[in-house]
Amino acid sequence: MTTPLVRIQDLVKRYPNGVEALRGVSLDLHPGETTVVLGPSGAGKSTLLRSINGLETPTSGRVWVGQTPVERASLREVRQRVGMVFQQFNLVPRLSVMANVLSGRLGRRGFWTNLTFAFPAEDYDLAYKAIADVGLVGREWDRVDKLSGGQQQRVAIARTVVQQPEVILADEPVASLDPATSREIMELLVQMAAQNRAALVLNLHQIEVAREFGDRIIGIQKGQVAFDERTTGLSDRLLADLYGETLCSVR
Amino acid sequence: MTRRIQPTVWWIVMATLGLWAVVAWWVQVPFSDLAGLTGAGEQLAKYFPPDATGFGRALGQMGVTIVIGIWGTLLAFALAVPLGLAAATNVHGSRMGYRLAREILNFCRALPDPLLALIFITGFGIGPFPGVLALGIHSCGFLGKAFAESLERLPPGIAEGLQACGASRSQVIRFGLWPSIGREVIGYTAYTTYRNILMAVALGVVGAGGIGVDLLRALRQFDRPAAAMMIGLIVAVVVLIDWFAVSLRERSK
Repeated sequence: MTTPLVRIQDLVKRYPNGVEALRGVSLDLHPGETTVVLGPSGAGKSTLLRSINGLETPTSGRVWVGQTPVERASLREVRQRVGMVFQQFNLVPRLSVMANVLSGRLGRRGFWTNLTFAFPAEDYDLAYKAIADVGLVGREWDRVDKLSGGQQQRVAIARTVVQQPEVILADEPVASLDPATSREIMELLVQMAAQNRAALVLNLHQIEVAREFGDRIIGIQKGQVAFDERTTGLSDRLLADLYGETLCSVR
Repeated sequence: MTRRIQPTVWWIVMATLGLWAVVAWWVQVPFSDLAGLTGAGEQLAKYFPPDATGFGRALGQMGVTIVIGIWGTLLAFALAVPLGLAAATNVHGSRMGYRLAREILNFCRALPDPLLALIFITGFGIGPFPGVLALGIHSCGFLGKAFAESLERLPPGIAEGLQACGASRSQVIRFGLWPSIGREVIGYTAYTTYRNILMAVALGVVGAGGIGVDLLRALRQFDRPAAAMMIGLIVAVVVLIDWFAVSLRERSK
């Protein structure tokens, strides 16, 4: 195996309200791999992903991105290397597609850009290319809130691409989209990750989508790793165990 | 027994009416004075026809009043931006700064501007400057609170998406939060300008310069035709500003 890109060690997250989202998770993520995290709602999938780029601070345990430990002092550095795509897109709705995509460069830009909104030419080159790559040529100066959900997710992916990340995290990226659009977005995500040689880590609800796009599937249940398999080795029995309790309680 | 929502509203209405009745009885409002209204027409007639001889000066004084209102708003805006940011729960840097900013904004809002103007007039003397200070300090309370609440209404995803890109706190504000409340900022600031120009007329009456000073003098000397001219001018200006504000809002949509 190659050296891990992301190391997660004994991660525990207890929220102030007493909920234990993660109860000792250890994982290695590798370059060029598409990892899908499956599990019932509330199993801790989101918390796991959000711990990788420091949107959540773990109660104990550590995460490393390359050689860098994810901690308060290193957050900006880590987040330049780790992009993220969200279920609700998390764009700035009143700004243009271009402004939103350029935001992906903010981690590398300082005070002057802040003051004047003046991004260097190389940032614009990257942004124009990324917008073309996600299929939104001609929409550069449209306001994001005028776009459809699928188009907004494309903008979010372009924003991640200009970060030139080593890891792309995607937290339920297609949960708010219709099936046809979901498929397009999944294909785009995988393609963009491959094109930028970034590892892709996805939280998904749809088992079929996970099987189709994932190289590796991790099952999370009650804040712990239930299984960690190559997609080819994933049996229906493991999946039934993962979702079993929830299915029963629904019935 | 099934639980029902209690008709609270009726209790509030009843209590208000009751309180009102008690107060009316206690203070003994002299309703008989209303009889004086029969002479209202006669009184009103004394204002006509308006006297336009002092129009040139009145126009200049009106200009001073407008400038007092605008400068007051600019001062309020300059104070409200940092205070509003500090007073928004989704932006604030420290718990301490948040509490402090909230308290300052509440305090500013609680001080009526005529009172502030009187205090500053004793310090700086009669003139437009105390008026500007008074308006600036009072209306920054409103403006800052409005900015803070606009920020707090934003969905948390906006800031989160930018944080995930490695944006610093100031970048999140500059590229995410501030552009997202742009329309509200324009709306609240336009309203404050409008309100401050009106208030500047009233502040003139306590000695803070502008047309209010002249209006008070005319009324004191029972020069009602001159007062009528100034009142007409004020109303015309108010209508103009209102019309301007509406067209501005239409355009910003």
